[in-house]
Parts: sequence; structure tokens; C-alpha cells
Amino acid sequence: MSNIFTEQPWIADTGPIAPGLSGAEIALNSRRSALKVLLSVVSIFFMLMIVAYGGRMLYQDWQPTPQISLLWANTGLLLLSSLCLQAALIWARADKVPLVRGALVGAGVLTVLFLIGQLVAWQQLTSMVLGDFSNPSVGFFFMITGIHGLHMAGGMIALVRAISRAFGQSDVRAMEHNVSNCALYWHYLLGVWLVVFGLLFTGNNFEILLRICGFI
Amino acid sequence: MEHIAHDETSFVRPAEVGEMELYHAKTWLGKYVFSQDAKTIAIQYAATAIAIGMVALVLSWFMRLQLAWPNTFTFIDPAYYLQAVTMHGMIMVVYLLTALFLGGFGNYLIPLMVGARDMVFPWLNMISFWVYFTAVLLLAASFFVGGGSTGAGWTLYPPQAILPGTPGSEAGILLMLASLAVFIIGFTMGGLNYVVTILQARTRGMTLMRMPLTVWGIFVATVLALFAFPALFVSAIMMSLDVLLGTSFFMPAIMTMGSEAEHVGGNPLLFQHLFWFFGHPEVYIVALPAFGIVSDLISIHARKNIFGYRMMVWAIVIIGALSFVVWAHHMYVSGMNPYFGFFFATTTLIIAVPTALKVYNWVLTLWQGNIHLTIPMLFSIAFLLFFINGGMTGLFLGNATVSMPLSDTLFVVAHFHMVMAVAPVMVVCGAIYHWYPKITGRWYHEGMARFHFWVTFVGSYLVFLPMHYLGIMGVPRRYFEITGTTFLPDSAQNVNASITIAALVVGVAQIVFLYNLIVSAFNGKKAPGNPWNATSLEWQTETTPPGHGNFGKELPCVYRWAYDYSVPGVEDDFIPQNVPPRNAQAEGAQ
Repeated sequence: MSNIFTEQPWIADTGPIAPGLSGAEIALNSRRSALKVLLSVVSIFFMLMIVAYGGRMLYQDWQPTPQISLLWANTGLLLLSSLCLQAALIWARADKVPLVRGALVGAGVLTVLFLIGQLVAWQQLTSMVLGDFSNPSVGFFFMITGIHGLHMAGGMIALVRAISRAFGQSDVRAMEHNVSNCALYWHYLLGVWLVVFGLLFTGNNFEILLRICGFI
Repeated sequence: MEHIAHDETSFVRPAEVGEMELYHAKTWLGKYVFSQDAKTIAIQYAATAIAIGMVALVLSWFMRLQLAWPNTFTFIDPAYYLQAVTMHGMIMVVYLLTALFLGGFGNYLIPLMVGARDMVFPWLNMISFWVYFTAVLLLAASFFVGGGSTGAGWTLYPPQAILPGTPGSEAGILLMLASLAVFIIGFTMGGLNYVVTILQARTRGMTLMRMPLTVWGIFVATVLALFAFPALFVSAIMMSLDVLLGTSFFMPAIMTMGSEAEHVGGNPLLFQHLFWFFGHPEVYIVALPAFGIVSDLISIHARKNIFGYRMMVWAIVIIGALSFVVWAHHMYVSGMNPYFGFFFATTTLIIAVPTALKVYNWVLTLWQGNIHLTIPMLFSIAFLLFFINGGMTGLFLGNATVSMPLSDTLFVVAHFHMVMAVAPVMVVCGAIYHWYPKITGRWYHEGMARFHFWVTFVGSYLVFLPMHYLGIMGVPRRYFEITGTTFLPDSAQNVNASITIAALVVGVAQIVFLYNLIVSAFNGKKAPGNPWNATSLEWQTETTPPGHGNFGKELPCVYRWAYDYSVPGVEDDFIPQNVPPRNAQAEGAQ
């Protein structure tokens, strides 16, 4: 079996053609593939922001953001919503449709609570810095949490569609595909949040971040 | 090549799954405005890109008029000049070339060339175009707001981009940043489509290594764009926040207009790194599709298989990968650790190796080929002449020590126009002429096309070749006026005037080009389905132009690569990709 490294394309087929994918099956695979490509793009996006943050930390006038303890609670909410989606996926594979529906709704509610929590955290930080955003670490905080929140909000569109389909259709396999994509997205954004939260906003992590960014 | 006789049916297994379901528009709006057919979307992309590109062309005329005859045209003041420079650059690079190559050619050619009915996400594809269209409108709106469009230069460097005194530092820069962010969102939608379609919707038998190089070029360029545009997106957001919220990502503590600005501690160099992390791959986002397309044009019109197909594919991939580690060669004069300078100079020179391989392979494909000097072939040869010239001057600019005295001179302007402006535009023109009979079903006017070619080719050389000499003399770029300087002889001004005359003539030739395209689409002679006797799948469609769904009832099966030209022992000098080996042999010399 030839592959991209060994194939000699100038030689025409002398045997049966390998069956290619097409049609309905590919539509499902395509969504999964598109999601993976999208997540790669998003990874670059967050990576650049983290590197920029790390680069700015090197300057002597760097002042970290004040600590906001609410972020720990928000992290817990996001973790729970991700767990709900994982549970929904497991139940979808086991054909337990009512449980899938409940877990999906639970994930949605927890995500909305997470987003509200992030907005409250913004409000708290704004009060702490008295509306002065000129400290770069404060600017980074708003930008990175804002962009992460926008990604979560975008994911909610897909989750709401998955919920409405879960209540409206009986095809468990299609449901499983939808839930699986949502779960992947949520786990990924949870991972991003843990990295961002751990490195940028819990304090005392300068050295780790600078090492990751290659500055020391 | 030896063919083994088989019964055709033994090659084709039945498809294991059903075909993709196509959306069939029921209304005129659905069919022509909010179309989900990639071919219509391609034409929408191309028309929008060319329209905004013509605006950029006119802006270049204004710049040239000022440089040739300073202060003769009173509407061109220093601010207007800088705005024209900025908008010309940004429009040409992002809104014309990127959109045209990926949105235009990508949409039209990917599904047809890989044997798919359409893109895998047609609805997303339609949205992608309209988001791009919105980005163009936002950009165009900046011409009309108070203070006008931004005049910060296409690189938009802070702090000057957002400080008072720079043209367009109020609404203009914000509209530019918003437009770029919207463009990137739209492109990401399209890019996902292109990548997934190429990876998953190829027809049976179309292995990755049987794809035409056009598809390879567009594929790798799309991957580059998906990974490079986030850097521009991040920097656009950060700069917008600096303007709107008073954050200090890029803005240092600075005095402006005699008073202290509100910013403290921002890092302008951070913007440069982010910008060029996008900016250099952007060169290849434009160049790689051009490389792919020109490979196909040369092969088809020289009736010869492309020399070193696999080498060409891997060169595209390697160039794409290396393009992410050369960005700081744009920043030699910004100040950097000398070891960094050495690293980036080295990577820049390394990227010349796969690029040179491609040039050799194009020339070797032409070598002893049955060269037909058709319009697409003329443009392909012109591409080679511009690209080699621009590539050679790139060797000067890639070396930190040689680059520094040439920085910010017209030498740089001449270099990048040769290598990533005129060269890709030659491919765009050649490609349009090549696929025009397929897209419209009609022929263009040959005489007008030849006029267009010769004026564009000779004219562009007259514009950019002398510009190198001006640069070596020390004429700076982006300057409103250079008269009265002691280090420049009067002859420099004469050269400037001659460049302007050539630029005006070249511009007029583009109007002839567009006239030819539009008029011939209605009045041109009917074209056959495969007028160039080409092998790739887009030429094997049942109807010309291809209908919705591209192919007939059955998707084609692919048995061979796209370069079976002048195969020994075969009567015709080409074998289409969908002809089984047995049939090819039967068609052979009898």
C-alpha cells in the first residue's frame, strides 16, 4: 500500500481503486475534521497571546493583576460542564437518551453560569484597578478572558443545537456525533482555561511561564 | 509507460456510501446572491477582490503622479499620499491577492479538481464570502470617515499608527483593524472548507499525490493562512484595545502633541513580531497558489509532464513550514540580538533552496517541451522572469548586513513588487485566461489578450527594474517628496517620471483586460469543453460551464496523475485522469 511518501504518481492504476469516502458518512467525519482544524487554529491564537504575555513579563515594570478568588469557582463550573458533556457522551454510546438530555442541559446551564461568573470577575477587577487599564497585565486579563469567553459563547450555539436535536430526534448515533463534537470542544476549552488560569492569573508562576515561552 | 490491460469494471469498486446531498436553491437570490455553489461563490470572491483591487490600482497612480511631478496635483497632500500608500499595500496583499487566490481560485478549482460535487460545508462557504464582503465594505468605509483612512503604512506599526498626527489615527485605523478582524473570521470559515474538502471529499482514486499542483499550492497556502492570520487577529484586537480602552499592549509611555499620553509600558516591538509572524507567511499565502497554478499552466501548455512532481509537492510543503521561521528578517533595523539576526538570515537563505528547486523544475519542464505560446503560457513565462528577478534581490535583503543600508529604500519596494506582487499577478492573469473558457463557456478576444500581456509584461518591468537603481541610490520609500536632496542627481527624478508613465500605461492595460473578460463572457466565441486538451478533472465535466454538482450522474474515478502529456505509445498527447489504463492503451498508436 503506497502512501504520500512512497507513491509514484506517474504510474497509473493497475489494480482496483481504493474506495474513497463520499456522501453522508463524510458529512459526519467532515464536521469532526473541521472541528480539529479549528481547534488547531484556536491553539495558535491562545499560544500567541500567552507568548506575548510572557514576553511582556520580562520588563522590570511588570505588575501582575490583583488576585480574584472568584476565578477558582468559575474554573469549577467549567470543569463540571465539561464532565457533564463527557457523561452525555458515555450515555449516548449506551443509548440512554433521557440521561443524555439531562447531561446536555446541565452542561449548558453550568456554562452560562461560568460566563456570568467571568463577567462578575471583570467587574471586580475593574473596581480593584479603579478603571485604569494601562497596566499591561490588566489589559491581558481582559483580552484573554474575553476571547476565551467568546469561544465558550460560540460553543453554546452548537450546544443549544445539540440539545434541541437531542429532544427532537431519536437517531442515537447522530446524537452521539453531536455530543461527541461538543464534548471535544468543551474539553479543549477547559484545557485552554486551565493553562491560561494556571499560568497567568494565579500568581507565582512567572518562572514556569518564562520557561515555556523560552525566555529563560 | 506500460499499461496492463484490464476490464474497466475491475478498477472501479462501487462507492461504499452515498454521495453528498447538494442544496438546490429555489429562488434567484438563493442561486446568484446567497449561493451555496462554490463556483458562484468563487466568482463573487473574484469580482469583489478585483473591484477593490482596482481602487488600490488607482491609489498607486496617485502615488506615482506625486513622485513624478511633485506638488502638481493639489489634491495629493502628504497625508493623502500616506493614506494612498497604506491602503494600496493592504488592499493588494490581503483583500485582492489572498482573497483571489484562496477565495476565488480555491473555491472554483478545489471541488472540480479533486472530483467533488462541492465544498463539504456549502452554507459556511456562502457565509465566508459575505463576511469577506463586509470586511471590504468596512475597509472602503474608512475612505469616507472623518480624518480619512489610516496612513500608517501597510504594516500599521504602533505607536505612530494611533497617535495624533498620523493620518486616519481616529476612525481610520479602527476601521482598518475591524476590517482585518472580520476578514480573518471570514477566511477561517473558508479555510476550514478548503482543507476538509481536500482531505476528505476527493473522488475515488484521487490520492493526495495525484492531485494537481494547483490544489497542493492552495492547500498548503490555506494551512499557512489558518495558522498565520491569528497573529494578525491578536494584534488587531490588542491595538484596538489600546485605542479604545487605553490599555498599553503596544503603547509605551510617550509624549504626544506636547503632553503625556495615558499609556505606560507597552511594547511596540511586540506588535512587529506579531505582525511579521503573520506577514511573512502571507508572502507565501500569495506565492504558493501561484506556484501551483503556474506548474499546471506550464505543463499543459508545454505538453509535457511536470518535472519532478514529488519534489514540487514537498518543496511547497517545506517552503510553507519554513515560512514561519523567517519573519524577523523584516525587522533587522528594528533592533535585535545579533544571534537572532544570524538565525533569521540563515533560515531566509535556506528557504531559497526549495524555491530554487521549483524554478529549476519549471525551466526543466519547458526544456524540449512542445511549447505553445498561448496567452496562459506567455503569462507563465513572464511569471518566471519576474519571480527569478525578485528572488535574486531577496538574497540581498535576506542578509542582515546587506539589508540594513537598503532598508526603507525603493530597492525593497522593487524587490517585493517583483516577487510577490507582479509575479503572482502574472499567474492570476494566466490562470484567468486558462480557465476562462471553462468558467464562461466562451473565448476571450485573443488580440486584446495579447495586447494586455505585452503591455503588462513590458510595462511592469519598466516600472520595477529602474526602481532598484533608485533604491541603491538611497531614495527612501514612503516619502512624499524627494526633490531638493543633495545626494540625488536630477536624473533620479527623470527615472521617477518614466516609472510613472509606465505605471499609468500598465494600469490602462488592466482596464482593457477587464473589458475583454466582461464583453467576451457574453459575445465571445463558444469554447469547447476541453480546449487545451488538459488532463485534470475540471476539463472532463459533462457541461461547460460545469453545472451545479460539477459532474454528471456519476462522480469521475481517477486512475492516474494529472500530468500524462505526450505519453510514448499513445496517439493523443494527453490522457485525462479519469481514463482507465485499458482505454488509454486502446487509444494508443494503432
